[in-house]
Amino acid sequence: MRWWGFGKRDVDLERELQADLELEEEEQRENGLSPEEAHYAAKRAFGNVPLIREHTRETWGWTRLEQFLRDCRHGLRQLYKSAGFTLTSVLTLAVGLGSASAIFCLMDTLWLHPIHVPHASQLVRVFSTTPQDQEGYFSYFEYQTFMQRMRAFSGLAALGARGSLMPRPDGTSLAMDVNIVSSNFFDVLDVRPQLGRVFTSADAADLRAHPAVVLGYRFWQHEFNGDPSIVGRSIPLRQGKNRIYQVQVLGVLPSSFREIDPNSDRDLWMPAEVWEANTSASELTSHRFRWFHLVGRLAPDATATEANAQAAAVASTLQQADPTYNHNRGARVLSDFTYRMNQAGTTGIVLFAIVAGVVLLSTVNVAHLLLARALTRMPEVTLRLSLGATRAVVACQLLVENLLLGLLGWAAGLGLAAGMIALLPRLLVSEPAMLNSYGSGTTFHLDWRFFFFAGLLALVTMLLLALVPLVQVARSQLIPALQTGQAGRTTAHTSAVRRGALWLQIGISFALLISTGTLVRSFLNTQTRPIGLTRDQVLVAFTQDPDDATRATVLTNLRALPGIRTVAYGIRSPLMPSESGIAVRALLPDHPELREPVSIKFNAISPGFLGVTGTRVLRGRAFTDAEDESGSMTVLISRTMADKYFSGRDPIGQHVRIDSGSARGFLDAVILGITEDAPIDHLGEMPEPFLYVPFHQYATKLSNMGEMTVVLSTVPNAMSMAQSVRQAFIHVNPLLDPMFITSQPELLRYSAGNYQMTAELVTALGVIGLALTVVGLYGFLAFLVTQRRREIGIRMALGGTRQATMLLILSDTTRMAAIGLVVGLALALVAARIEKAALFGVSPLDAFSVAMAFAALVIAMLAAAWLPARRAASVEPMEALRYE
Amino acid sequence: MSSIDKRNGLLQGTLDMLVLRTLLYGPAHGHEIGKHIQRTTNDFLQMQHGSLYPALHRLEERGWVVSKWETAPDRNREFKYYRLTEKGRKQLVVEESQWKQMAEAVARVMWPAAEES
Repeated sequence: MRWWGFGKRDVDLERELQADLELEEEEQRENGLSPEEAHYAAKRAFGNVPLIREHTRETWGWTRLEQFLRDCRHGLRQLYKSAGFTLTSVLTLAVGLGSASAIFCLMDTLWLHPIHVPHASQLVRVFSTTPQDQEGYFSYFEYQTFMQRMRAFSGLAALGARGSLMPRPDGTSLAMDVNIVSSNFFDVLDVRPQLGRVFTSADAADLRAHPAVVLGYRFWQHEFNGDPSIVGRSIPLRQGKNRIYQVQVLGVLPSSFREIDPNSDRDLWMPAEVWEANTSASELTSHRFRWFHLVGRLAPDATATEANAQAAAVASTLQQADPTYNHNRGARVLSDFTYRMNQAGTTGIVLFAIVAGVVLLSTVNVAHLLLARALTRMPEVTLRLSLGATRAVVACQLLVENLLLGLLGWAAGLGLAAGMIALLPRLLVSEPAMLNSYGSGTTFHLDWRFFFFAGLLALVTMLLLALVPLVQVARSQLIPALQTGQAGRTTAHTSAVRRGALWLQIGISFALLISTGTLVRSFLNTQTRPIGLTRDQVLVAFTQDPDDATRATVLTNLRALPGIRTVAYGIRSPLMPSESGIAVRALLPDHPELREPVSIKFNAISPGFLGVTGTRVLRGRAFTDAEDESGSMTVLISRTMADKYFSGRDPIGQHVRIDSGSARGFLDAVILGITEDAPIDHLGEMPEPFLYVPFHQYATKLSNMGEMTVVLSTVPNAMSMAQSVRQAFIHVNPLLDPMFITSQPELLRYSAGNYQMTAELVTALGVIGLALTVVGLYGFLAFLVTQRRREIGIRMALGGTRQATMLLILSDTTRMAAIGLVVGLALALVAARIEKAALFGVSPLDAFSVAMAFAALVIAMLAAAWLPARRAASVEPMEALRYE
Repeated sequence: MSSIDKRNGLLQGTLDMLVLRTLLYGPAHGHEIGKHIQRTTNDFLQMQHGSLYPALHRLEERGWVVSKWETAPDRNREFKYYRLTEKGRKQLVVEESQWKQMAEAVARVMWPAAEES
């Protein structure tokens, strides 16, 4: 019989008893009794009918279930009765579990989630290492060497990011993000296409003659509206000014595989063979060009450690074979998981600690509220115990009640998490606004991993909550409780545990608030501090470098546009979202360390470039039109370069020798001036030596990259000029259509994104933490006041004033706060070590932030203490003492 | 006079045995069973309904009897009739032999002389 047959069976029993009772009555009547007498006689003979029913039900063997349902009903009634308590507890749990789950989802999407391919745990990353860089790229030659010699891999693939252009009918071109990959890439990763097929190593020989590519899912959706007939068709790609070549579309990748790094997306996947045959072959054949990531799949019996040792051995043979390009160069292998954890870095650790902290705090707080309530319910519990209920039964009932509370909190938390996750994309700083490009569009999903995590959290929370009633019942002492109508004194021990939990909580809140302060200030600093770049409106257009005459025409047209102040150009502009800065090999004949050439990042710029981007020349002078290709070479150096290589000497007028990259060898260049440091890749990076070369000298004497970035300072908002600037380029030649146009403020905003995101996140957590602490403190003090009601009554009866009573409670709060603050400072010291790297121009224990955190916490604590203190002050002595 | 009740000291399981034995005559409803036991023992065992119905439901739970609502032949109404199952029949044999052993054991202690003669 199922539980839903319960009611039916009850009715059946009722009917049976009724039938037999009536029969008894009839028999009595047949024996000659009057109907009325018969009725009573039958009833007498039967005895207590409800009791019979009760005893009979017990034999049905489901009383346990029935009892559970009754406990549930009872529990819900109890929770409903104290709606304030329930609401506070459920909200506390919801905030704790909800925010933790949402942060987990964020972490999972950013770092934890493995690459979406079969057996992702076998994947490893291989990096080229130098003393300065532990995550460097490889040349294609190095890749081939590693692929031949590494036995620990069942497969090794290379991928490198490049851009390509797809001509449109109007003569302009669409800029695409392309991954140039070794032809075995999809075999090694085991990626299956959504449509058509992917290229494999078997195609390698054929690919030069029949170039083919695979499309990324989003690109397919955006450019081809998801048209399946694209498979098998050819699309044109532009190389240089005049060459257009056709590639066949083999297939489309699934939406689940967009790149090996989360949050990235590629439009086109092209085999290295096709790139080599149709564009600059030297990028693949020359040992100089290092731009490939390596991804390997471990052989079934190999470990990442073995692979690492093998890779180091291969790197050292490369070093011996080619000392020029492989000087001091090693290699290391990381499991993909380790790599992703490294990417998460301190941000990940901090987030994880926060998740744990928030869950712990909210659970402790609810346990606290439960204990406080348990005290007021002690008379009920003891009464029930003394009437013969077993401890197990009472504990069971309290357990059910707490679990119901936990369940409600969990459900509310899931709802809250879903809401927060919907807001997550807004928290992530969007990519810089760009003309001619669309962002990667990170999305967040509630997958099984999320629900598993949320379920795990709920389980832990429930277990903690389940402990409370067990303690509660075990501790209840019958006699004193019944005598006084109060609980037996909670022992000093439990009280210490509770105080300890509260100290910790105040401490964590304090530390979180300090972090909030420093991180917010750090973010504000990125917006206000001098950074070597202007925050004024500057438009940045990245395009191909045409010949001098065309360039001059473009610049004249741009200068003629209304709203444009100044126009200048360089190879790149700071913070551009392409691969990290370009470098040139240079040496200083007089410097002991620099007799051998080193790689120094540089930019080639027109006169006025630094004026537009806002990098000041500290000493000496900037480039003028006098620096043309006729004279000897000149350079500007950054402050860090001056400090590092010219300590104590005046660099101005000294010479640097720069590798021309051609038969001309190293060329002599005179240092004209020193500039302030400007960020190259992103804000907050360590400043490094940097060189500026006049654009004309670069274009004629060094190896020309064929790229140009025009920077324009504008009167109105820079992005509002983007379309007219683009038309000015196209008007001269459709081929000059910029690959993207963005603005320096947008690049700065994006680059400050990490600071902004951390600041927003920690601020949210600081507020949540503070709210949790207020609830926790309130719960504790409310408990305390209830417990000390009698004592307060006596004090008042003996002449204590209401003010004195309030002070009594407030002084308790103050003591607690003082200890909590000390704990907080200690935690803040630990946090400071972690945070240090993530701060911009502010010390982790910034005095202002500490003061603000202190003020906020004190105000919050006073607010939490106010209500219980008022309640204590309003204790009527006679009422309190009447319990005696 | 005694009453069958699990709380008054009569051996546990005795009532079950008596009910099963009664049902050996054929299906009967609760009232009949109670009346039958009472009459057979010349009112020595006063049936307590508080014990009878739990016992019946317990036997049913264990599968020794089955119940069915049937119209009584002499009254024009339905009663819940209990019927002995094959399993119940076996159980009765077991309980009967256990009871016999018990009774003999008790008898040997109580009346040792009778044993000798």
